[in-house]
Amino acid sequence: MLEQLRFVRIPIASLGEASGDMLDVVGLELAECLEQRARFRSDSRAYSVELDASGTIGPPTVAISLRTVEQLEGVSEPLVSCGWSVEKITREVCRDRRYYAGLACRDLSGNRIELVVRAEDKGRRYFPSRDAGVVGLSHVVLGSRSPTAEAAAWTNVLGARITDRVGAGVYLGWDDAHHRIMFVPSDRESFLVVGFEVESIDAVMQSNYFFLDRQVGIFRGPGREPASGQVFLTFGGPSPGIYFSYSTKSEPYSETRRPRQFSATPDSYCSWGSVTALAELGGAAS
Amino acid sequence: MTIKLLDVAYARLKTPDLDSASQFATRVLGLEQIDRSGNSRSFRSDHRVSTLSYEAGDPWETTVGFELASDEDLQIAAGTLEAMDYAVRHGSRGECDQRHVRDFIAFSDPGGGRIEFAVSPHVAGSKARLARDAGITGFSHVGLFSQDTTRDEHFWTQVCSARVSDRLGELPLLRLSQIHHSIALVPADRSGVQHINHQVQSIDDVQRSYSLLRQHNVPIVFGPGRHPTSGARFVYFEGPDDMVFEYSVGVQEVDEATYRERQFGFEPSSLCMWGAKATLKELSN
Repeated sequence: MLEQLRFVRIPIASLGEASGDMLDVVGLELAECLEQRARFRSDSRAYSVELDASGTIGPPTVAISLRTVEQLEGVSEPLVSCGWSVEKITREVCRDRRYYAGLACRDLSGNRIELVVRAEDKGRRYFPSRDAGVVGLSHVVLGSRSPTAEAAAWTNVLGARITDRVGAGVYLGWDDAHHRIMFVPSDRESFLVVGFEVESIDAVMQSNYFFLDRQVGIFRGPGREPASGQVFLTFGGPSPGIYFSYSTKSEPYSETRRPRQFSATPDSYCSWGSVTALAELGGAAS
Repeated sequence: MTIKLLDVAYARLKTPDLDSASQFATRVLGLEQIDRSGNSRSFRSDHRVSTLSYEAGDPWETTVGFELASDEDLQIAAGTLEAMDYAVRHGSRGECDQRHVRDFIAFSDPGGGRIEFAVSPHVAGSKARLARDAGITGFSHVGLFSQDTTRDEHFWTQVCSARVSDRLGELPLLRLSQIHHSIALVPADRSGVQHINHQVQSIDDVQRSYSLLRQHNVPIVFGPGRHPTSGARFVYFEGPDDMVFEYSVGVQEVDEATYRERQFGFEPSSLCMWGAKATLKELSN
């Protein structure tokens, strides 16, 4: 039922520097400048990141698309039964956010999930502002009070599957990628890693040295995630608790493979032995 | 006649502290120790019985051994070198046994570096039992210090059979086989072995070793990075007596018929396309 991870919307205090970093550091393309909001592209879609400085507070939003309006209407009640709060998004707001219809949801931990239908793509190709090798938005890591309880709504109602577990964390996927969402235990108000797929290990390592040169805070990696096989590099985002990550393509999902349980030890989070500052992803608690 | 070299065969190092050097070779580098006598230790990295040894002595006295195809080639090499006034010494039975080769000759190259040409380095039937899971697939190349790279390049390519694969400024990378390079001539004010390379199975092995080396406080002198010349992903680190060791993976193979050497500028991006900066004196001006 789930189609695509579409975009994230991140509330921030002010646009100025954060907006510049999206271009100069992350390497995205500026798609739209609205009043107190800016949207950025990472691939063929209209935008994959929106920075919102209009005064919205609270956690960031992760938007995922469904195919049809009927599906959208169908999941509303079951999600409420799972403990989610679900609210229909007005036509006007949908138009502003560049999709046809949507539901604004809060999961069990209060994460904002937007389920959308017919989110817009662009005819013109993505033109990056620096050669970071970004291929597209690929996955998110979200904090949760109980990843296993959280996963139930995704598997039972939305048709996602658990592909692996590491410690109490759960990887969820629905297409040929290893995972699109990962829930990890977190006691922060908001914890979000926005993952972009990059072309190759070369791109990850080039960004590593690019960040070291410019003193961009690296929070995790470079390393390789044993479950997905992805080489990753995670760095600071526009507000506290928000991070960006580059990673290589995951190992393809196979129908014949069973979900594995990785132990909650550092080598389950990185097979290269890199250390992380993120407690949610195997780091020493700060 | 041109001296036909097949491959680099072994490196022989000296150290004032044999026990520490041996511990480094096994616990850190990950090689298998195969024999120990009073004042020497030999180590195995691949199908060959021994590719590295440590002997008690002066660390500046380093030796590299190259493999020749036959006894006849060894005779030709000895004759060629003698005709050029090199002092050639034939190895004794005992010395051959120490090196695990059938026969060898020893001489000093034009810069004074100790070189040996050997025949039939012994190969073992069993797999190397590496001391740790470093993913080593074998001893692969050496860097040699050169006080005059034009003179030394001439020796290795004109007297011997090496070919230039690429140049970084005045630093030539020379191949003996299809492997992009087996010898790097590194400009310096001395002679001898500059670094010793072991190939590993994958980029994961390079990165895992990088983490392990850092945990052991082994000085990382370059990398992790990727050479744009050979395409290899690498990490360089310092062993006992300031000797530099390298793990790398993915060295390009060269098609002898179509390959043309390239000239790279001597600058950081020619040494590493990821942006790693070398702290090695010879590579960082």
